[in-house]
Amino acid sequence: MLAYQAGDEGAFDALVHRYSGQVFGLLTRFLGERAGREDLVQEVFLRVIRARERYRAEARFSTWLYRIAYNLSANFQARSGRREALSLDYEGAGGSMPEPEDASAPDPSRGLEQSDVVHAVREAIDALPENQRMALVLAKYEELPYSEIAVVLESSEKAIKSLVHRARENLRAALGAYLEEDFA
Amino acid sequence: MTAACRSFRRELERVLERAQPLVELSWSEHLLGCEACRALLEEEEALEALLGSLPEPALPADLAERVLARLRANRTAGDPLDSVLETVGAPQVPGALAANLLDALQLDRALELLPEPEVPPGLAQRTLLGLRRHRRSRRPQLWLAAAAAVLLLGWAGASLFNRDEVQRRPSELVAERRVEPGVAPEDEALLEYLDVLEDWELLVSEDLDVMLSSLDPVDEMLLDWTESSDGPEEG
Repeated sequence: MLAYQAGDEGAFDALVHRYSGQVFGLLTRFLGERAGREDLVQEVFLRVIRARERYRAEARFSTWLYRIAYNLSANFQARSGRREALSLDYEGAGGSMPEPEDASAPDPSRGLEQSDVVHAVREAIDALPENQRMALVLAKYEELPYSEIAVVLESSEKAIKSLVHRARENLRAALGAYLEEDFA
Repeated sequence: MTAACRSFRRELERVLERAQPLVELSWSEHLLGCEACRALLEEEEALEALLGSLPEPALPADLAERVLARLRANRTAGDPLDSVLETVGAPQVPGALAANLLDALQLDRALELLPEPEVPPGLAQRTLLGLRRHRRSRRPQLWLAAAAAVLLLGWAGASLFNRDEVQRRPSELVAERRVEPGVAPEDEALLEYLDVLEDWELLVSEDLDVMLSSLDPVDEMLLDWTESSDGPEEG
């Protein structure tokens, strides 16, 4: 990012190649498998372009990127509603990008039981309040330390610890029937 | 919960925070003698297994290239919002805005210089005394008004029930009517009964209308008052 800020246009392409997959993965974990995620990835990097002049390397670049992604996806969710699969509509540049079929969708060949479990876990995560959900996703799947999650959520490390704890408690309550079975 | 339990749970939190495998904790000696902590660890392990069952998000092919292509297209086309914003001219400032503001400020300052009005001493007590006297002087008037309302109601009732047609019951009037030829006696009786009911209703309505039209507005108010309240309020 510092190279891009210094005028290296090619550095921006490198940033997109390196981080677009991570951002897409984070959005999928946070929003679920819904349309509009590619548009949000594009929007995240559009913010990077706009922030080129004022960017300060106070935290890791990925942490800053995750913060942008979190704010955008929370706004996106508030606009479109939890259950609606809307795609952002950009005028003048060809409309929304068509998204390929998502290979992470439940595969019938995996068996009904496994598919049920995955569906239940996905629903339990979706039902979490958005700050708990993002804290859990960043801690569990992105393996970010609490100090960095605190930067993403603009909160304190202690508050993040509490958020993750409450998220796990909520998940235990929602998935109680599955926890009694032997998945360990 | 013992100190050993607390220590174990702190360690459990630490391992979870660092996303380390929980299996390391299962060797803790504390678990051999603490069923609660053993159950907690088993639950956390089961939850970890469930969370781990979610598949990795599948990335669309050429995601980065597609995003870059879209960003370049946007940059070439420019933001349509910019062209719209450029059409908006600079805001027009009213001619004597500054002078008017200064005048208003000076007026405010001048108003602040006015002295506070002086309140005569004992004004509140004198006002209260005056109000009490006024309320006392109105009490006899209220009682007279109530007595007039009772008399008026009595007169209205007497004038209503002194009429012959009203005093007689509908069944008595039916008996006096002659029977029309060709009409069955039971039908005739029913028709007569209906006629009487109609007459009686009209009579009452007319009398009430006459009586009400003769009332003064003050009497009407007193009638309303006696119907809506139990009696005059005491002091």
